[in-house]
Amino acid sequence: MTSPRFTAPGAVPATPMLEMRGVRKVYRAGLVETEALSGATLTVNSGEFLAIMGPSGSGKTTFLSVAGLLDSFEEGQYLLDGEDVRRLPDRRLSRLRNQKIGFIFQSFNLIPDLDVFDNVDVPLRYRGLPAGERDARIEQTLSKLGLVARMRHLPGQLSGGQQQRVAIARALVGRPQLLLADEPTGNLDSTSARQIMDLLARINEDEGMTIVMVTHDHEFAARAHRKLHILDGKLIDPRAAPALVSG
Amino acid sequence: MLLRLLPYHLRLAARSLRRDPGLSAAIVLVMAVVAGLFCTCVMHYLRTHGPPPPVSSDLHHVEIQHTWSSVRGALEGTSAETNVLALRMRISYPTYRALAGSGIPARQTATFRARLLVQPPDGPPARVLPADVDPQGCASRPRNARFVNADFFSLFTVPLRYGAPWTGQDEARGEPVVVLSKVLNEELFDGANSVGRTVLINGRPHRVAGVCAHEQPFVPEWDRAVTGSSQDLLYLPFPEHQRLAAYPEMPIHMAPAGPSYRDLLDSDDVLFLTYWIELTTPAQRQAYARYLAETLGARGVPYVLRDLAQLRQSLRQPHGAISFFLFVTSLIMVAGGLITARLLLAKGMARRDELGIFRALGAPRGSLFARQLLEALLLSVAAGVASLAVSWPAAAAYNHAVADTDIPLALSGAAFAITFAATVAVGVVCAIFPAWRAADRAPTIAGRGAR
Repeated sequence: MTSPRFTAPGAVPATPMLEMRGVRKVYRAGLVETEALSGATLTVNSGEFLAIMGPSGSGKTTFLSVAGLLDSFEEGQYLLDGEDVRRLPDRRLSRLRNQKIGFIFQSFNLIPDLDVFDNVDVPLRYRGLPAGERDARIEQTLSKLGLVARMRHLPGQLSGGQQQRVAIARALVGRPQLLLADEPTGNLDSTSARQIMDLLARINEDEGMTIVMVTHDHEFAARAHRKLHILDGKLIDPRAAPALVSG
Repeated sequence: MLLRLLPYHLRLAARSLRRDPGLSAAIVLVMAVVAGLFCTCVMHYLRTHGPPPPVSSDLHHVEIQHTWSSVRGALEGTSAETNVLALRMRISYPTYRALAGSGIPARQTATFRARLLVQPPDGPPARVLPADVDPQGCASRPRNARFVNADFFSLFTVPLRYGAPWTGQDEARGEPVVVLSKVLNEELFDGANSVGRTVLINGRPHRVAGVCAHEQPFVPEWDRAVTGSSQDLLYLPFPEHQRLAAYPEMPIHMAPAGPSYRDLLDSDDVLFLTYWIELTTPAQRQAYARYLAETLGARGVPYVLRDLAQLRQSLRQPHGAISFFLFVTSLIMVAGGLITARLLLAKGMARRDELGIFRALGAPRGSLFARQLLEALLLSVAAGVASLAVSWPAAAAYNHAVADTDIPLALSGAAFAITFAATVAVGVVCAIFPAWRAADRAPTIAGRGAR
């Protein structure tokens, strides 16, 4: 499926950040094959904020795993910022993950025995930046997210909302071009969830960062520029096929 | 990149060890116990087969080659290996006189061992053990005493902790002096400086001239026939044997000698001495070879003159049981390594989500593999150091239980270095598979593996 070209506010000519054509992902368990993605086709332009919705088991997380280069796929083509990632070696995939993609996980996925500063430091360590620059970037990012005072706290000493902000700081500190968020508000109370959504919207608007967010929540999905549904591994544009996604 | 990340990975590895202290301790404990046992075996191996202490390489020895028919009687009913060694190394007193009479100005020493009664007549009383008290009420027992010439200590590099060896002049004057072993000095004088003190040897007073710094080597180069038996406890000037009428310990009798001490010294058929001469120049060696040809050769005595290297080559000990023991211990080491590998695998499994997150954030497989190996390296280093705590009591238990000699197993730098290197090597090798499995972890999303 294709999408209309997205043009971010400011009328900068749109360039595709993520292009998938006919991507198919199959999980095998013994003789049982489960098709988690069935010929996924879409284009996400730079600066776009895309929400993907779907019921449990529909393939949302698989889509994010493939899009985030966390998992391979069997068929199709995937261009990330113009680079075909299908047969790239692990080292190159790791570098792309590290430099171009930021992840926000539903369960935060912070390292429990590293403090806030060191958690945010992880992606920069694999970037090869000098210590001074790393420190400056971390402090700047934590400051932007209001976490400077918590810099030396362990994740267990923070609230859920604060932990998710740390996870966002970790995703942003490397200044990626693409932010993938897997149910970022799923484990938060409504106030914290709203704050996190405000934050993501601001990041998208202020920095023009491309965001692909998987969510169950219609209210939060409505804040994205575009919304896609996923059903049985198939991506569906609700504007093109409203009957398929209604209810 | 791996090198650049080394300090970071070390820090993470150290944190990881602290996170699972029970599992980390179990790994260190398993490896340390195995390494400690391995170390004890290495100590034993080095004691019996390790490099010999430094000795003058110009030392020469003359082997009298007895015919089989002449030695058959001497070997009957004896421990063959030790006695064959004694037959090859030892000579009779008349042969010693012949060998020592070359007149070549060279350092030389004759030596033999006797059993003499030793008592301290002054100063702090000897610590008398119950076993020392014999039924006649004599608070002493025969001790291994070795008669040597003054050059013995320098030729065989026997360092003294206190005092100095006697001189050739002392020997010529018949000075009643003695050098005590470390063990005897500890027993008689609690290890204090006993130089100048007097001890009674077979009832005759002798002044302590020096005290040895170390235990006797397990393989005494000067008399290999006593290898593995109890050590020499005191050294006396060679001529002193006549005044003390000291009978040699376990001589080889080719034929019975007469009843008197003089008969023993005149008999060509009682072998109990070893004789060593240092020939430093080709001219000296040629002169001594000529001398031997004129004395022994002319009498039709078959002999071989060898320098120390040639002698060591001809006496090389079979590795036998100790090699098997070492092999078995190495197997135990490998088994310990496999247990460690299993524990490391469990450790990696317990942290699979964390490793998946690192992968998701851009850590390549290679760097996680290196990090896991570093963690194993830290554990191995800790186990290598902790093996000391096992090897000390293990060696003490061995010394207590296997009382075949009074030369104790001692932890040397070499034994520790070998054990430490083996522990680290086994630890790292056994960590390769668990590290590979951990590093092969797929990047994680949502707190569970994608795989």
